[in-house]
Amino acid sequence: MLSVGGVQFYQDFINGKITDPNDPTLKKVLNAYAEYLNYVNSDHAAKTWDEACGLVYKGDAAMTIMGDWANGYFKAKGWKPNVDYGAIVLPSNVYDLVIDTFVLPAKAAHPDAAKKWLSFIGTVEAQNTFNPIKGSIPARDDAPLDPYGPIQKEFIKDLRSSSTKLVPSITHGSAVPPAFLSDLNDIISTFVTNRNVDETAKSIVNAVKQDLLPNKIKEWKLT
Amino acid sequence: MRLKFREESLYSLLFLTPAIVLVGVFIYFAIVWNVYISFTDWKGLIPSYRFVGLENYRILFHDPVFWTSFRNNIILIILFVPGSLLLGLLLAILLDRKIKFENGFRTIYALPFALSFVVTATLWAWMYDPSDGVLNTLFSMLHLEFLKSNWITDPHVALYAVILALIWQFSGYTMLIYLAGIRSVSSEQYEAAIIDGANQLQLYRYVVIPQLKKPTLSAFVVLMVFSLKAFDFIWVLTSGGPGTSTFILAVEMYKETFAKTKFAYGASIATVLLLLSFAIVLPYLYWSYGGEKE
Repeated sequence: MLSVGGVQFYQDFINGKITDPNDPTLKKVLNAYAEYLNYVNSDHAAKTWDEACGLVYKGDAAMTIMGDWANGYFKAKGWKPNVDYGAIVLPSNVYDLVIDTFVLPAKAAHPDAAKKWLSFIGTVEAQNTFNPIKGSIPARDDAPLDPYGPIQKEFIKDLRSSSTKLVPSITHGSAVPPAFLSDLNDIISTFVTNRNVDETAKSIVNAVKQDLLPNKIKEWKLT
Repeated sequence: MRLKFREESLYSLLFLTPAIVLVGVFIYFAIVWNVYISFTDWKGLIPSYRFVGLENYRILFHDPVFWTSFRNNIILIILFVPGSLLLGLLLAILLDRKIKFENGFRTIYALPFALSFVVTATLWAWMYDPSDGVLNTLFSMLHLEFLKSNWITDPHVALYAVILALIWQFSGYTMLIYLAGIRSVSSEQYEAAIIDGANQLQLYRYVVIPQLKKPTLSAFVVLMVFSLKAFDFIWVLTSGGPGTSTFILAVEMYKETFAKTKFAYGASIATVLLLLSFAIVLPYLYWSYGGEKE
C-alpha cells in the first residue's frame, strides 16, 4: 500500500477516508499485491516468517519480504550480511514502525526495579546491546554505528534521513483499531487465495465503515 | 408421617440450593442477560446498556460473514452428523462380529473421543501441514501425488478437512452407543432370524438396525448440538481461516465478542445459536417424554 499508493494514501486509509469500493488507488494496491502473489510458494499459508526465511536459507526461495529482524535469523544461521545474503528497503523513504511495549502495572510488586528497567531499555547502551543480536536497528539517533553490520547501517541511514517518513504499522496493530485489523486479516487471507480485487475492495470498505470509523481514536498526520 | 415428609423435603431443598443457585446464576441468568445484551449497543471494554432494539439483528442479517458462518454450520451438520453416525454404526457392527482382540479394537476406536479437542486438533493440524505433514508426505511416498492437498490452508478444502477430523473423533462415541444398542438385542431374535433363513446382511438390515432408533436419536441430538457449538476444535485447528472459510457461528461469535470487543453484536449471534439449539433439542425432549407416557 505504501509503495503503490504512497504515504498520503496510507494516511487516508488508516484515517478511514477510503470509503469508495471503486477507489482506483485501492484497486491498484490490490492488483499489485495479486501480482506479487504469483511468485509465492504454494504452502505459504502454513508458513511463519522464520520458516519463510528458512526457505531462502535452504535455497528454495529467492527472497522474502520481512522486517529488519529477519537479519537476526540469517545471522544466527551463520550467514554474513552482503556476502551470503543482501537486503533492500521496500519502499524507500518510508519506515514502517512496529512498537513493542513494556508495561508497569499499577500494583506491581517492585515498581522501582521496573522503573529502573524501563529507563535502562531506553539507553544507548541497552539499544546497542540488544539490536545487533536481534538484527533490528536502534530507535535512538545518537546510537553509535560500530556494532552494526553493513545491512543494518544502510537501514539506520535510511531511518535517520530527513526525507524518510515514519508510519505506524497496520499489521502490528499501531495504526488501526483491533476490530478493523481482525476484519482486514480475514479479508486479506481470503484475497490471497481468490485474488478477487473487486470483492476484496468492497469488503475492505465495508470493514472501514463498520469497524474502523466507529472505533477511531485519533486522526493520523503522517505527511 | 406428615412431619417426616416435611423434614425430608426441607433437607432436599437445603441440599439442592447450592446447585439451583449456581445453575440459576451461571446458566439461566446468563442466558437471559445475553439476550438482553443483544438488544443494547455495548461495544468496547466499557459496558453501555443503551437499548437499541433489533438493530444488532438487522446488521447481523446483512453481514456476509454471518451468512458464510451459517452456511458452513449447515454444511457441517449435513456431513458431520450422518458421517459420524454411519462410521460409528459400521465400527460397531464390525466389533459385534465376535472378532479377535475385540476389547483392544474397542479401546482404539473409542480413544479419540476420550482425548481433549485441543490435543486432537493440534495433531490434525500437524498431519494436515502441507509441506511437512504426515498426509502429504505419505501420499508422496506412495506416489499418490494427486491426493496431495493444501488441506486446512486451502479455503475450498479446509471446511471438509475439519469435518473429516471431527467425524474421526466422534465415531468412537457413536460406536460405543451403537455397540451397546446392538448388544441389547436379545439372542433369541438372532436365532429366529437365522432359522428363517436370513443372511448376515438381512440380519442387520431387518433385525438389528430397526431396533437402534433410540440410540440413533440420542446420538443425533448430541452431535447436532455439538455441531452448533464446535468452537474449540475449529479454533485450534484453523482459527476459522483461511479467511472466513471455516467460520461457523460459534467462531464468528467469539471473534466479534472478544477479538473486536463488539459484545452486543456477539450476544446477538449467541441468541441465534440458542434458538437453533432449541429447535433441535425441544422436539427431542417432546419425543422422549411423550414416548415414556405412551
